[in-house]
Amino acid sequence: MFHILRRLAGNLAQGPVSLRFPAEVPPPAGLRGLVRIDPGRCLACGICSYVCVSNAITGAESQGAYAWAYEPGRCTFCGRCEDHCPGSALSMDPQAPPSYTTPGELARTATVAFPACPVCGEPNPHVTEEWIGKAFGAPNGETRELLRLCVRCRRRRIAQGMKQPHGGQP
Amino acid sequence: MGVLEPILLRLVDRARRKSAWLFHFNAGACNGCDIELVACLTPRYDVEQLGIRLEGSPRHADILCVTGPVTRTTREALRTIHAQLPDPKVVVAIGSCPATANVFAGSPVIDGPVDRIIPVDLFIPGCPPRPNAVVQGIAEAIELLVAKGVAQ
Ligand code: SF4
Ligand code: SF4
Ligand code: SF4
Repeated sequence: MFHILRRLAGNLAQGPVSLRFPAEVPPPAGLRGLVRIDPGRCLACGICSYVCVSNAITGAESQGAYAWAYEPGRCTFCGRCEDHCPGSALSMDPQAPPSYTTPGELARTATVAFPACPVCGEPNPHVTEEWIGKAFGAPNGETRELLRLCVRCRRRRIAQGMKQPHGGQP
Repeated sequence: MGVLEPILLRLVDRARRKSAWLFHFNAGACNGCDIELVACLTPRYDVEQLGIRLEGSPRHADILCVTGPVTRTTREALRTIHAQLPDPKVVVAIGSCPATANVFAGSPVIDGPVDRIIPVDLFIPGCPPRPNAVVQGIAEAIELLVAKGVAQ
């Protein structure tokens, strides 16, 4: 009895709870909005398009670059792409996306250019410092040098190194 | 009608802007989007402050809200209901499912997305969209409805 009276008095003092349009409820922390990419951190591995449940992300390698595309109309906002991205290149907007009138209006694309191999000039997906750190520990001069090469030149360089006597330089 | 005609047209225009009625059709949705649409009717979001009323009959409605990817069994119902709405009408697709069939794309029992069956005027993205986004979208849909009424 007193409980309900207290509740009623509280409601009376509080005033209306309705939000006057166009007022908005602030988005909660960690809201998963549209996916965005930082092309500088992308390793062109294609894991995001592989794990995406609804094919919202597609990726294709062509002419020395990686073409990344995202269609929000297909997205389930599950966050799997962000979780699995080894380069931490993907993140999600902290607010809800706006409505649109033409399909594909919110689509996002990015082109990740491949740097040329310093030995043979072949375009090759680049490897970020951050990823080298994750895979091999703190990068030193040798790992940095090796990872700038394309896969073929890297193999050749390592094979040459193994032919040298122990401790010798390639 | 003579001199009364412009006055009557203004009245109809105002009625559309101030009291658009809404019909909700679930074309095989997982219920996520439907729950968010119901949340819009609660006192907190209160979509009725825009003059909206959730109407039980498509013949009295102005806005058709579709949720879900359109399953084989709902396709004909969707077509019939769309035909039953009087002109001008606005179709709003709520969520990723009606826009592209979402994770259900490619399933043999899905005939969607919605714009393969009926024309869609506005898409509200999300899976499901937030109630705020739905209220904003419905406000935009009312503007589209008024513009269609003027064009008619
Ligand atoms: S965005 Fe991430 S997961 Fe996708 S290709 Fe680039 S590095 Fe790989
Ligand atoms: S959030 Fe989920 S559905 Fe959206 S692009 Fe990422 S993996 Fe795909
Ligand atoms: S868009 Fe997402 S929440 Fe809405 S019906 Fe489809 S699967 Fe469910």
